[in-house]
Amino acid sequence: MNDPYITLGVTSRATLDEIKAAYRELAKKYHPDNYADNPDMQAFATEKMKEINEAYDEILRIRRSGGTEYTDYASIRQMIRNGRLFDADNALNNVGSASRGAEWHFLKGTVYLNNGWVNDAEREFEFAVRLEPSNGEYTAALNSIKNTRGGQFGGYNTSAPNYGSGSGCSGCDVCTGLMCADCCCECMGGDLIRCC
Amino acid sequence: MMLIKDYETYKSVYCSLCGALHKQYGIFAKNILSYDITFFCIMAAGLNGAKPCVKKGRCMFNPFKKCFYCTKQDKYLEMGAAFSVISFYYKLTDNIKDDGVFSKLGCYMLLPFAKRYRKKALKKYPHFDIILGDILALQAECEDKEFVSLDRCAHPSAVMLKRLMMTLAENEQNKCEYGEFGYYLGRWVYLIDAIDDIKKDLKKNRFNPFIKMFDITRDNISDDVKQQCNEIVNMTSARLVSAYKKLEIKTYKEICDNIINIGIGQMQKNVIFMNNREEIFDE
Repeated sequence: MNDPYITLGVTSRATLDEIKAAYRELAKKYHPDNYADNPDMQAFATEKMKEINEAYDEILRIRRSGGTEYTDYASIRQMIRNGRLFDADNALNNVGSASRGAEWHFLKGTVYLNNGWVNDAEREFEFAVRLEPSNGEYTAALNSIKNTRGGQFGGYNTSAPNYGSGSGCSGCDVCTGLMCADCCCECMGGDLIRCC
Repeated sequence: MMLIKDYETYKSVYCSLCGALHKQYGIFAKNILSYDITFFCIMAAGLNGAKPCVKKGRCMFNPFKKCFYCTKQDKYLEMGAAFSVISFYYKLTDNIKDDGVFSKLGCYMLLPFAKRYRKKALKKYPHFDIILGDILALQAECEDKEFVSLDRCAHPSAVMLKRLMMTLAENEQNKCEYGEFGYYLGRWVYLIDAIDDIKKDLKKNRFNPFIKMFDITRDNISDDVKQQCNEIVNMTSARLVSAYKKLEIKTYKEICDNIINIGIGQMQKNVIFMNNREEIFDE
């Protein structure tokens, strides 16, 4: 589903009452209780019902915010929020390559990220930031991915000191330090560790 | 890195899985035992809250060697064994497709065994076969096409483990969480395997996403490329760890924590920087 108006079978110029009527009619038709004896049909009706509800909510939201035309990216964001990644991806792919701006790349990256495609997500976020370096949302998304490269959040961190080998202060270092301190104290007539 | 008590529990699952393979599929089947599947069995038992019970015994194949067995985990071990033999069958068919003459010959000799094992496993776990069969076709499709992205290459393996993990879930909520964890685990395993295979694939002129990505042509891989490979794997590890944190592991938690928090980092270090994939759990 791309356009909530198409789902409800009305035009974008329809009045609120017309939209409500269309919604009520469809809801009556696809109510899952009507198909209690046919589980396949019931599953289909439940799915359809969900779509109708979402479309209705979306139109109400658009109308309430004062816009009569619905902007592409806002509805795509809505789809991503609702977890409808496939639809969101389709909608993004329908945008002509000439008009793909920073927000397009950001949303594409978000879809990738939600699908677990971390590398492609990073690339898209990089695009978005390059096109619009001042946008905090894009920069934050890019940074949160970039930060996981170091391995501090899981994986192998090459710069972290290794226990026992590598640099840093290991258990052995502590003991050796104490022994040295004890020897020094004893040379000066004192004692740090009584038993040795 | 692992505590002795955890190590013993881990080993007990490993030995019991070996026993399950032997009991259900015959004496040769124990050769397809793997640490990956052991981990899967532990996760399966841990997520369902099966109590770990360890008893002492002797190794089935070496009576002088003492080892531990776990009891009461038959359900998960059986599942692990079935998955092992089915994946073994698919691995063989895959090797026959793109290996050299001699290894092909070896695969052909093993194939009748694999077929028989698979047939037996299919009776009880037909969904494993669907999960694995699907993925192989997808993977082949990815590798035939022009290289576009690493994510696309890793996707089939990731989905396979996602679906496998989802079979362990009891309700919808769990399904999501298990699926997410499975996806990143599968992805991580694919990436590590691919990095591990770079040299072999160069020699045999086979597809490998990392060779394409960094245009690797020579045998020795520069430190810079290694560093970048590690960073790429880290990105997946980080998400794997955060997906893991959402899981509610009822038993075997220490072992699972250990593998996720320390084991995967160690494995990355071994495979990427030290070029040896000695199993990190071996003494």
